[in-house]
Amino acid sequence: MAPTYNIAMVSDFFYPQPGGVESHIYQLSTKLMDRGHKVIIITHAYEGRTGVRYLTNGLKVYHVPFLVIFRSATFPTVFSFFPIFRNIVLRERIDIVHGHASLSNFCHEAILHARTMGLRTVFTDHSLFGFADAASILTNKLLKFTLSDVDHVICVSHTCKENTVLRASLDPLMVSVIPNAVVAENFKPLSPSENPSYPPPARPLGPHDIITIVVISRLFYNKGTDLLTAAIPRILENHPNTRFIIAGSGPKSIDLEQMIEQNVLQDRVEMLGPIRHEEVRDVMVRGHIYLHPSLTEAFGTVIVEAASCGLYVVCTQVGGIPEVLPSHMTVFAKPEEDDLITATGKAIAALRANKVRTELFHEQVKTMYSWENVAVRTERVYNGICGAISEGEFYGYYEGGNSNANSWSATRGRSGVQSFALIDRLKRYYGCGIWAGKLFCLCVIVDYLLFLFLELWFPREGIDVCPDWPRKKRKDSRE
Amino acid sequence: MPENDGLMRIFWPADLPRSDLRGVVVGWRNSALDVFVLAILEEVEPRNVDSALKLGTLTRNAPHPVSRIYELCGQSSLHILGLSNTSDDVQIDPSWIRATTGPSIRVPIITCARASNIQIILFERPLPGRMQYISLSPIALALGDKHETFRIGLSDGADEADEREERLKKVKKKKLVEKLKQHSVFKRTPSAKERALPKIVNQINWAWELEKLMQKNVSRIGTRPKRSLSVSERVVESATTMRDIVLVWLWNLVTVYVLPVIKRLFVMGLMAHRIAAEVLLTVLEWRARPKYAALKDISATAQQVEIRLQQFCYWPMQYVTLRLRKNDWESVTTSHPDYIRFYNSLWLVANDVIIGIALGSYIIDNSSWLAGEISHLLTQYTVEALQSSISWLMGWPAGLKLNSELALFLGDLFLWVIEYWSSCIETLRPVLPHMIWFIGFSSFAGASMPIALFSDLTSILTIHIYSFYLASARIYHWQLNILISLFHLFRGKKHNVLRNRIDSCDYDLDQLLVGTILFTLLFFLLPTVVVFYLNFAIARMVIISLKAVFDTMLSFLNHFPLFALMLRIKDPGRLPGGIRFELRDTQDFRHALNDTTKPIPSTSVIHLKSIPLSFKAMFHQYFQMGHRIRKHYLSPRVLLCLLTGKFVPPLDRRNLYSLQYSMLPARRAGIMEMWNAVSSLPSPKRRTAPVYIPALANGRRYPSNYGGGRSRSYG
Amino acid sequence: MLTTAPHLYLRRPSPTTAEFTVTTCPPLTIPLRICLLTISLLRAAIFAAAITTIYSRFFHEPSHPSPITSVPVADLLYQGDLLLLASHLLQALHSSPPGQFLASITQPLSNSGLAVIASVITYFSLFTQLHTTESLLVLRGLGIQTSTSSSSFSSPIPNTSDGSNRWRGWKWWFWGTTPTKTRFIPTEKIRDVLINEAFRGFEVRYYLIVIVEGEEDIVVVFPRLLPGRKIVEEVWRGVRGCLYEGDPNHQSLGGSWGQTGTIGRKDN
Repeated sequence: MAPTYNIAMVSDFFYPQPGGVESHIYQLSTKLMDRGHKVIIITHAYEGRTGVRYLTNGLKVYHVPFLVIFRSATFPTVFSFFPIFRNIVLRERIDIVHGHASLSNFCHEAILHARTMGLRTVFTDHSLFGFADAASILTNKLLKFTLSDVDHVICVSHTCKENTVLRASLDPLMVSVIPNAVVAENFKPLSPSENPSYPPPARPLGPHDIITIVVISRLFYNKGTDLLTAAIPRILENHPNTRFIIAGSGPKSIDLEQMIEQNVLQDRVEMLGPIRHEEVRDVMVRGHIYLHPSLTEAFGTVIVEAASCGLYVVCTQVGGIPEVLPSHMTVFAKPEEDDLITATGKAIAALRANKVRTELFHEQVKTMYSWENVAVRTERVYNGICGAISEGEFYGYYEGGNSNANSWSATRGRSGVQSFALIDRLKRYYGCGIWAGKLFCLCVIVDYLLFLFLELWFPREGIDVCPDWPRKKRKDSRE
Repeated sequence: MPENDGLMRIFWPADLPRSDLRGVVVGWRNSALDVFVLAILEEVEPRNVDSALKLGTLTRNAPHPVSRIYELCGQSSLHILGLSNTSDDVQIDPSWIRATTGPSIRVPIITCARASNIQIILFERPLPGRMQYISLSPIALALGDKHETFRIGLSDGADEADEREERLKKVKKKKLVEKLKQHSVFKRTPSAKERALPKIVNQINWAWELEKLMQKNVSRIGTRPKRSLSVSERVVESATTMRDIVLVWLWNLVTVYVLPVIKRLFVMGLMAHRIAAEVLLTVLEWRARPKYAALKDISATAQQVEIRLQQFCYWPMQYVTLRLRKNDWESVTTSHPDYIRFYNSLWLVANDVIIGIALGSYIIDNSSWLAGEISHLLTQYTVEALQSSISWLMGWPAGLKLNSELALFLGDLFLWVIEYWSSCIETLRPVLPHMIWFIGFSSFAGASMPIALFSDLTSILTIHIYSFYLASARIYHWQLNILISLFHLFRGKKHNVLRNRIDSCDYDLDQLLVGTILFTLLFFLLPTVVVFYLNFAIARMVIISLKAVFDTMLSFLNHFPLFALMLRIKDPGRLPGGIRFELRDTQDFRHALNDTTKPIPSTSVIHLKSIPLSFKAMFHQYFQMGHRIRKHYLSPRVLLCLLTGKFVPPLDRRNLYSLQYSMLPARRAGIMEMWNAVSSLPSPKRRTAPVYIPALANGRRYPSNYGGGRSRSYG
Repeated sequence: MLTTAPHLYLRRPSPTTAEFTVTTCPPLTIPLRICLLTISLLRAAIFAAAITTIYSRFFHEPSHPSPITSVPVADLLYQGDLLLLASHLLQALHSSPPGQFLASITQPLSNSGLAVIASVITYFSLFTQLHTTESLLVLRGLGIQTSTSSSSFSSPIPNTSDGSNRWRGWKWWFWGTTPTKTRFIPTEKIRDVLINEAFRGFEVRYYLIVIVEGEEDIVVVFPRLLPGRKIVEEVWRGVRGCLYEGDPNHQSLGGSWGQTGTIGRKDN
């Protein structure tokens, strides 16, 4: 019987705010609970949602009341989160702290504190970053700080892995790639029986049938909304029988609206505004093509969802997107206006010529992605860092083959698990940079002193231990 | 029986006379094992009591209809609940209780065949004659919140944002409460015993009067030896009767001939006043248009007059309601808050007049000195201080390098107006002593009148500051608006008025150039305008707070819960604020029963007590008003208004005085209504020679410590 | 030593009535009694010192010396002239050696500073509270009553010398109790009694709440002490068993897990 763990998922991003990271955490937690682990989620408080909450499947969410600064990321208060984090960890008897998203301060702080408290930590990176601009440099430094002392890192795509390894100067062996998944059942194409109000795509599409292009994304700069704003009038001009449906909200939505008004496209472009995650499928099945103009994307769950709904996908060739879907489902474009228009034109032509079998996409996607699979692979990571499976098996090398295990990894501890000794940790942080290293060491020392103080001030015995939600019987593992 | 878990609940009056005589326990049976003890009838046979209860003998000679008792206590008849101090071998009904009491036993010892455990709830009976009562919820000193709708109907503009926000919050909270309901795992249906509590509260309120009635009628039960009066007693009795007859005769003379005439005249006078009041009120409430302010919204004096008139219109109605109370049992508690409200307003008016007389005579005596002081203050603060501050602003104040030309222009403008205003005040000066004298004279109508007049006087005499504030605020606001739109131009955006959003816009080069130059110019002129604006805004705030002080004084004079406060100190029982229970120790109670042979069911003794109304609840209205004022003036919205130079709306008088309306009905009774009410007053009953029924004809007197040692008298 | 962690006393004269009392007051032993007495005396001394200082600084006129000692206190008491009595007492205190000493050491302080310090000391010596006691009374068929009281000098003292958890009598040493605040909720209005958890300061706490029908706010039981999970669970079980009539399946039903974070069984 494989061991089960008490896992705390920590991130700034969780429901009720919609998004890819949020649903990733939820799905992963659910599946891990199905496998007999205990999972709690720690996030910050949202408007009208503070305190402790149980979701229907017994997933416990701590909405910690903290100040929110920008796009629901919390203010970096390095140490103020520690007392409450320690309290939660102790009362829930957590073994593994799993942080998500590199933009989340919560996650970085939690990993630091967890290491101080002697817990295993895992970090999942969901996004790509540049190396040049000031914000990226800062974030990268922060990431380097956190990831200097983490047991394992998970990335959602190979591009993402490369990016993370470079940004945080990690040992590539420490980084696993576990892609996102979709719940394919929630993204079925329109069956003829349901809802005849949307005309089901009459196949084969004639040259005068209307083709609907769907865009669902938050309307931010990095999602390529400017590209979209520029491209839509030209696409509509080139292809008379096309329509756009745009869902999502954000600062760039005004630009889109203005574009519609200037070009008098009210009858051809429909803006739906913000929609809930449950409604995504209903919007998607109204269209034939999904357009994804993103400028940077680590994985792009939404294009998998679109493909699962039976949409032909047009997307920019950036980040991890090329890894996500097989080429017969997608048309790639360079992230520039002209190329995007050409690619869309190609897709429309292909659809009109009936070259694409979109009705088969759903079954294909279903076999490619499942959250159970993600959970199994994540569990293997947990086993690896806790020493439940041997180092060799975990890292894919054989002890017989390579005997000098000491030398092949400088950044990772010798036995495959990171040592908790303060001096070892300080060594790791010291290597971060000339000035940064010293600063980081100082932070860690303060954190450690704070930990000692908390142990004195709020003794462990004084903290009530939570009763566990009845654990599910572990399903037979498919390892 | 679903609820029969062997728990018996007994309500027992703690001040019931304790004696060790045999007796029959009579009371209400709310459900099988839930009984309410009213009285112990001593030395009677249960059989006779039963028949007496059936025939209604025990409630004979009641002063008011008996059916009302049953209606309010929620039971159709009285029951025998058990026996007290019987020997064990007497066979009784299994649902009856056996109670053991005695002068030395503080808590009755009770057994019942069907109960496995017992709750004895002891309570002190409230005295209906003193208007004491208990209730589950705190007594409402304010009239019901019908003025809520009244307020919403009138609210406009200023507070709409606040109120909308509040409403939204309420809706959200309601939603949460609904959600909370879904979380209850399982819903119990309350048993009869649990639902009986409101009924029991009524029964407690009735307990005293009913017991008195029954004890009075005990003599009628069964055949009992009658004792004739002794000779001396007869002599005394005939003497008292003689005296009574003479008194009654005199009284009749007065009531038949003198009283009706006086009454008639009084009612006529009242009606005449009422008609005059109606005319005045119509003037005060007249609005040119529904949205416009009426006289009473603008002037504190008008408001004060209106309140007094409203009170005057309401008093007769209140009095009539209170008179009707006399025709009912004393235990009916519904009109007690009315009583408190009525006397509270009477007291306040009386107080007001008393303070007013003192204040008025002082003002009249010192009117010339006061007039001198006031005119001195006026010139010093509203003219000279303003002038000096403006000249200070004109010459680079506090090292701020303002634009001299603009500052000079603005300063000269304001100085010129002040000059003109001060000459106006000069002409006013000779009239001032007369005005003061008039104010002093008005204070014989209550101290609130001069305060209101002073408040109005302040607003009239500082009207120039108000207009300065308006003018400077307008200038500042315009400038700020222009700056903002030019800043948008500078960024290549513009404000889309139709959609109420910021659009991006392509400007021409010359547009951009001119816009930017104008922006710079205006930006550098801004500080000059700001200091002038701030100066007048501060002056305006000072005046507003001065008026707030006056308003607070007024609200204290008009609506201080004086009577309630006195009642709270004198007799807290009249102001119930809920009930509480106290678990008593059963130990000594067990020990009191010396023989341990008898098996006693496990018993808990609980005392039920009435909580007097908290002082906080009494001043609830004030807290609410304070909260409203705080929210109006200390909100970020007002700060924003101040910063952007928008007009800070003063708090609507209607809002401020919602407190006042909580004491008055939202709609006053019409003239005809009042006429009907006054003329329908029941004529006082002819007082007949009181016929005394000997309390207990069998010669048994109450023990001297009757009523548990508490002295009782109707107050 | 003077206070303990909140602990629970149970008084249950019959199965249908129970009172759960949580208090910070430890069981009274002789040393503790002496200690408490000393503390109250100390408080009285501090109070007297503060009052004397204020008096000597602001009200005492040095012009007329104290002929006061000759005035018999009993006479003043008899006449009911309490004001005069108080002023005489203060004068006597002021002229006594400790009073003089106090006046001399407070000399360097400014008037306003002294006033502030002395009034703060007066306030604390009068109103600080040593123990807090909160209780929950459950009456089947009637309802639930919560009450909170805290005492400044000494608290209602549980006498557990006979080994049983019985609460024998309330003993008030002095007047130093804040009035007990009670709140009664009829059974009819109780929608549910459950244990919730929430953030409070730097920790997550369990607390017992009563949801009242038709009210927007829930009622927190033991709002000031907020005892730990063990006590809260025990009380919760007790309330469940005591409040609702008869059949035992209420208990198991109520104990099932809900979305609200109701805690039912211990982990099995």
